[in-house]
Amino acid sequence: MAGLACCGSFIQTRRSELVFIGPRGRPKSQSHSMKRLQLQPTSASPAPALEDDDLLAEFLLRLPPQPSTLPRVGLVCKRWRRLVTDPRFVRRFRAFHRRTPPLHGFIMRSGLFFPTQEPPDRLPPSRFWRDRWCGEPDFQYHWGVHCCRHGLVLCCRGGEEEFASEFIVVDPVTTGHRSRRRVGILQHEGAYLVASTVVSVAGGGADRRAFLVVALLAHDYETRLTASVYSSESGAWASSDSDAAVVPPSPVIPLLQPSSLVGNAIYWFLFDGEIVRFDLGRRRLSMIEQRPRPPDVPPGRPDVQVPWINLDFRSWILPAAGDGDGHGRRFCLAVLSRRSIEFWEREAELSDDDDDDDDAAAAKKWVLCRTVQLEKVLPVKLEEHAQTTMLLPLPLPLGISGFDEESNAIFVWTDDGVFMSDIESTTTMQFKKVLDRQITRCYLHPYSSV
Amino acid sequence: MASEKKVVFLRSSDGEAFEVSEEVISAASVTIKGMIDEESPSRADTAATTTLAIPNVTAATLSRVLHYVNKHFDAAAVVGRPDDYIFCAPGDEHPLARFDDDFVDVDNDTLIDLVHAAEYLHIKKLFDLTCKAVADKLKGRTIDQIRETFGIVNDYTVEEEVEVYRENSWAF
Repeated sequence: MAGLACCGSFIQTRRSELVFIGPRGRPKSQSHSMKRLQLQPTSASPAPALEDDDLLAEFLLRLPPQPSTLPRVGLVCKRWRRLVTDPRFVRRFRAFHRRTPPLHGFIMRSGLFFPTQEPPDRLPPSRFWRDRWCGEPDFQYHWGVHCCRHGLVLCCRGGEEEFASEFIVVDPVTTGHRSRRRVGILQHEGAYLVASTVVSVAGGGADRRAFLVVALLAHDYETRLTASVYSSESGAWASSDSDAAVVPPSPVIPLLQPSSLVGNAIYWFLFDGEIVRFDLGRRRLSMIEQRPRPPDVPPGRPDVQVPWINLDFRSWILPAAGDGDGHGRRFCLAVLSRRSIEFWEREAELSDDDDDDDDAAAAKKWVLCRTVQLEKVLPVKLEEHAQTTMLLPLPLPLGISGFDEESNAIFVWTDDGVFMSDIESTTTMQFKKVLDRQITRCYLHPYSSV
Repeated sequence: MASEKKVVFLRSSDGEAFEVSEEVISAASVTIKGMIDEESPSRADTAATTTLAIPNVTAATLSRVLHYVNKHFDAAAVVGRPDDYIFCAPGDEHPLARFDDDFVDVDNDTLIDLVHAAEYLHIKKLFDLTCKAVADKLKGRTIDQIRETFGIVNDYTVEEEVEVYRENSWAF
């Protein structure tokens, strides 16, 4: 190692003589006018690697994905700014940091935004002004945020009474004409909107030019469900064929719980804990029937072979652990069971032709894969409320408020704030506080984006 | 396959030759593997060792690169799981993580020479490591410090600089 260090200083000396005749040293001590003069001898540039756009891109790509990173380095010189504002570079930067997007904050269904970043990484508040998103005052009375995914926010207006729904897809991180895009109005005569969700078509949010909006519709106040898909590329809505409708066992009401994206499919929990899936590739809906909750059996008992689905902020659909970086098709359920989170998976994956053997799939057993004791990993003392009332039916002030698919982070609310943990971490989950506000009993759309 | 390890010699731009195991350097460098594959038909029947000219890399840089390559790609020398080092946090006790930290703890010129060498020799792990190290040198510095460190000339006029700053003032 000592010999190498020697070589290094040698080469440095030599290089400084032979190659680096440019303004190495202390430009800071030089006057402004001197810097201007040095613009001329570009052939004797100080650091060849930094003169090569491709290599410079490789360096800047590896800067931390914090929101302030690219705007800051753009101030170094014009060439750097040209590079970091180039949409192709931005897409590469997003793809490079795709699994570690910074969490900007939480968006409630009403469009209210709670930032989690501190300056200088906090985006200007105007980017999250909900009235600006919809272009009219009083967002909260007419519009709702239905989904945040891949850096996109889906806002929806209308629905149940009007038999037509209007959508806007917002990208708060991007400035310019792509930051707010209107989606054609979806006419759904005789049907009402159950849920809607947005997915970027390529690159999991790295490339946001093309997106899909999926609307789940319930027909004639029956239980029949269909899906309609809007593609930003075609600019039109298309219904999934009517024979692809699924019929859940009980009537469906509009859903508040955000959907989950696992592999190439969207999953929703219906009211009674049944799971409906929309395959984005084949554009087909299917039901993953859930065995009903066994009566009078307390959760967490070893002989109970079914997850205790309770939609009161207690269950979430996630990508199964270790399933090919989330690109796989297996999903699992995270279920809050008193003071722990249980992860359940179906014993066998769904086969490819699940259209024909839904019943067989439903019959497959659920397996409890992992139980995480929250007392050990959640830095807050969970105090039971003295009495459960109508208003407070949960025994513990604890609920799952959201999930971020790119970073595999789950969010739980407590009386003490909102906490986040990576579910993929191989050792154990560890929650850290990301929002010091008491926002309980509601779903929060985590907004994370590079 | 002969039982003793085949070696090749790499000749740097300034004429110094370095010995390295053919197996190790083939695993590490796509460029050199290509050179060896091209050479191999002509030397299949001879016992002579090959000398490959590496015209873009100086002896000092090449010796560093080979030090890295021997550490990372020689299965006999690698301790633990060779491919896991990249997932280790800085505090991790993985020997290669520590080695890598020391390896890129050099001055800018040396580091950028290594970047060029890794690019030319097509050693992806080394390229990632050295590019990351350059990025780390940019990280957490003010704009003036970045310009100073890398000798970059500020070509904004004062008005332009103020304008760009104003557009992104939230990030400062």
